[in-house]
Amino acid sequence: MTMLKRSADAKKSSSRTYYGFAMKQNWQLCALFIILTLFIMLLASYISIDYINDYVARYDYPGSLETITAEKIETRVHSRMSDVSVIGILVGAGLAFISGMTAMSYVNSKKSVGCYHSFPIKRESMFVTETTIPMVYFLLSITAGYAISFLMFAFSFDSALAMGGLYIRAWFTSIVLFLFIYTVILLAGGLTGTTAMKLIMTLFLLFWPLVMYTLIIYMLDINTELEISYYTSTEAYMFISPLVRAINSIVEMYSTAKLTCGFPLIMSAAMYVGAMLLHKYRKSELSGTTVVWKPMFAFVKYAVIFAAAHLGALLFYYMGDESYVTMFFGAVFGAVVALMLMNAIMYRSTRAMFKNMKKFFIFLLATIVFIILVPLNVTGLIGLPYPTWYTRSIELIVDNYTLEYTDREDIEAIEGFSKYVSNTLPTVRYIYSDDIEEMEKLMTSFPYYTYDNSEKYGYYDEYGYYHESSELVMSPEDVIESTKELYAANGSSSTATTWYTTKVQKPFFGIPVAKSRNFDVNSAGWEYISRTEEYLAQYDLPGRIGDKEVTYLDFDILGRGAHFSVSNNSGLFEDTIDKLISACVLKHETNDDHIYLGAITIEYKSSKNAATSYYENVSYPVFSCDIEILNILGELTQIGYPKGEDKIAYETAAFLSFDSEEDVLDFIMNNITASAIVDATSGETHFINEYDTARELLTYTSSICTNNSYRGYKRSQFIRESGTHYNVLVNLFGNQLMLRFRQDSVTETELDAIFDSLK
Amino acid sequence: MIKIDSVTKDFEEVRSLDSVSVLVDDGSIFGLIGSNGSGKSTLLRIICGIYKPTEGEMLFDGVPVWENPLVKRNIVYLSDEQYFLPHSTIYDMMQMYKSVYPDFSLDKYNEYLTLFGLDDKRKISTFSKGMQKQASFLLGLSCRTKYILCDETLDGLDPVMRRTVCKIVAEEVAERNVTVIFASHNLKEIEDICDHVALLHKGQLILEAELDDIKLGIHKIQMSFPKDRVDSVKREFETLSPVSLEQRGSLFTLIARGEEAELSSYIDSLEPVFVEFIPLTLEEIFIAEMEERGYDYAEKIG
Repeated sequence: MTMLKRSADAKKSSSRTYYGFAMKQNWQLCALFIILTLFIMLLASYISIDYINDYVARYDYPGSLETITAEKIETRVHSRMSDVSVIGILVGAGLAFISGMTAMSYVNSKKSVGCYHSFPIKRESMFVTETTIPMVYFLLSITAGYAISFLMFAFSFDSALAMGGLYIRAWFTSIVLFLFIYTVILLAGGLTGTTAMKLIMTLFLLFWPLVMYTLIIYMLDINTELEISYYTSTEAYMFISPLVRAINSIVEMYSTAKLTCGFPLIMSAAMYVGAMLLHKYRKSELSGTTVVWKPMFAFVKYAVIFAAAHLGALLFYYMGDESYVTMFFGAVFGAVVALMLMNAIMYRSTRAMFKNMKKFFIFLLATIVFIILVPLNVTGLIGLPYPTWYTRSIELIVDNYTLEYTDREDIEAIEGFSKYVSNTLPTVRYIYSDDIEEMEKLMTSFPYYTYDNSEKYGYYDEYGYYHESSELVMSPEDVIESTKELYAANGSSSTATTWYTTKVQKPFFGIPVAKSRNFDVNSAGWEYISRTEEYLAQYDLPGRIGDKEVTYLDFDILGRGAHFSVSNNSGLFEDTIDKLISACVLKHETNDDHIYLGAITIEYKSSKNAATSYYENVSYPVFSCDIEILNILGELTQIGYPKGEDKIAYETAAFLSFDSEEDVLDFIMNNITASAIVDATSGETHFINEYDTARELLTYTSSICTNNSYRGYKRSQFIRESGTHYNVLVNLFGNQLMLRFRQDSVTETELDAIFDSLK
Repeated sequence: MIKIDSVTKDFEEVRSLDSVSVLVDDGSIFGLIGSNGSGKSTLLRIICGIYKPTEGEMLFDGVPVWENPLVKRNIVYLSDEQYFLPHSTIYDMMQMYKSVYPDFSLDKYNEYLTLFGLDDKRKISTFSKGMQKQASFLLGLSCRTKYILCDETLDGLDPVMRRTVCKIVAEEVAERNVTVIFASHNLKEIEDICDHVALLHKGQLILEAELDDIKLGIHKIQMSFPKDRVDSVKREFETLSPVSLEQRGSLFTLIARGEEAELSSYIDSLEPVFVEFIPLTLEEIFIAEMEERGYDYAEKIG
């Protein structure tokens, strides 16, 4: 012992000297990393710089109407550098895969294990040596890649210096991603004994939970009313899979500049330690076998069979016209195929395909019982709503925005007005036609079909009430004449105001229940939601957009539309748009007593950092009382479409300066070339020739625009139509519009009187 | 000193070694012999710390070898299936061994390289099997460790090279008092070079002793008797429970345990026509011992 101690003291540790040897020995790997990284990143940088130089050169000729500005160059430099920085992250992922698959390969051969494990190096040290070398090489190559790329940009464009922060963040992100993928593969390698099995195990560790979860969700969709889009969302996957959570954190770290690397780094460290322990306790004599840890062997095999049974069941169910019999065969088929493949891979022989059949049959039986009890939800337990007291929060998707309510009062109110109505909805089949004559024939031939617009059922996509005649229309009156019959035929049935949306009920502990299409929000519910802070915050544009960069603005008001590209007209619209944004703060009362005129859509970048932001857009409703907004839009139109340019002269005339809502209504009246009132039940139509009558009817209408749709909803909550059977047809700016009356604005008796007076 | 203390090794349900205990003195050349699957290679791999014993302990100078770099730096293991880095040369492998073994001697490396006549810049994969064995041997010996473990290392070497290797080993023992363990089927080699042997059969240690002691305790005697007494002599010998007894006419070949003088006086008392004590080879001892333990050697060779 004394001799050994003396020897140890006198000489350098074998691990340390071996590390030096291994570093030199693996120079090819280092070369590969450097070549790949530099080639990809520097080529991308070179192409990007070349592209920007080309772009600059386009302005550089005598007589050019436009001049290149520093901002224009900067935008492109930032955008291109952002692309290259992402390429670096992808390179990191690729190198992690190569490193992981090649690391610790000696453990897969009995010969090499005999050699390495006889060396005077502890297994942990050997593991650290063999696994940190690729990390060092990666660090060298990726650092060189980012540094040289940055220098290339910096020497070409001054504005590149501002992207230093992004490059450092991307560099760090690529390291975190590398470590995460690399350690997953190391862990897989620790459990297996061949390269092929290592790959399978990597895929298994990464994807099996996701695949299994997704399969069960789609199976659940067969027999439940769950909203599967919620369960297959990133949020749900993050809950299920640490992988998704880690990747999401990595992406977030890059895109939002928040230091969200904690979770992926902790996971990587845990997986690394796990892989090291597996290596430490791995039996040398098992080297070369497929799965070193026997329990893992059976687990992976039966887990794959389990997933394959679900996949087979699902595929055969749909292939067999939604038959449970074919589903059963699909489950058996999927399981048998998976058994054969897994046995062949794991035992490395096709002769072993039908090994352990007895165990397999027992497992298959258990799987089928599971499918019947859980994914097919025969017990009906899955998807049952939680009681209100057990609900931690409620999430609603309104106007495509996700609103989360955590306040007890809100939760109780929402639970109070919400109801699931799936069982009470009638099944409605419909035939769509935009041809009046054909529709009339259909009505005669198929009396059992409803020609309802089907909105009240919420199941079907909207279809138009009318289609403009393909024949030559000579006058606005012709248009009205040609379409009035259609209104008479089916225009009166839209009286329901039900509104369907996704509701997610999140319990204090457990899986959230998300139901959508059959969740009915009635008008009381809408009243409540539309007054909540959560909802109104979506339409507080100053708070939402702030000083973020606006890329374009569109509006579609009174059937007039215009597009203003901010990014291509630097500085031209910015002040006016800023002013407009400041004016766009929705108040709930707005949509109760005024006429909906249309919407403004603004696209903007999600963050101030141009390189890491993504595009968001918001639509904002405009009503007849929004004088300030309309006036600013008028200003914008004047700037974008100045007088004197013939081709867009009509745009200039679209808006004037308004002092009051009365001015707005007068302006609308002045641009209506024809109007008529239709009894939607009988089809009886009368033209309105009296200005005052038309003006009066106009004040009762709910909306005056070509497109009532709003953020994908066919019945906008901003339009409160009454249940009257009268419609008004007008020709405004050459568009044929059907106007409906606003709730509580006019009584049926008053309309009867007006209609009769026009006979 | 190497102490193999009640070492048992199980490979799943199969017991490869069953409570084997051996002491190997420093400076000895120890031969490990046994039939196929007897556990020689497994024992060697346990000795050098590749395998962990299921039970028992493997000690060098009283210190366990398992995961102990301080002990392992004094041991070099020359496997029956030599491993070389892919596409490597002897020079590359020398760099590897040099990085791992602190006492690695470049002088010795060069000396052995010249002695074996190998080109250390040539890819090892282009070497013949025998040359690869030589490469493995020269690398192992250059490590200058106190313990050298050789698993069928002499297999595949031509007689000249085998003799050279044996000479080098003997010199190493004489000069540096190294301990060498040879595991081999080739009993002639073991007999030529080893001073101590252990015989393994089905994972159990059957015999372990100085080679000379073994030879002293077992004897092969050839003798003939007058024809009329052949049957009675045969019955007499069978009552002795000999290790082996062969009869060809009136000529008997007897292998039996015991002191030479006792056996001699006993046979003389039977008044043979002719008697001669013939030296036993290790192979004969091996076969005899194996047969005694139910390994039907005669049946195996037909």
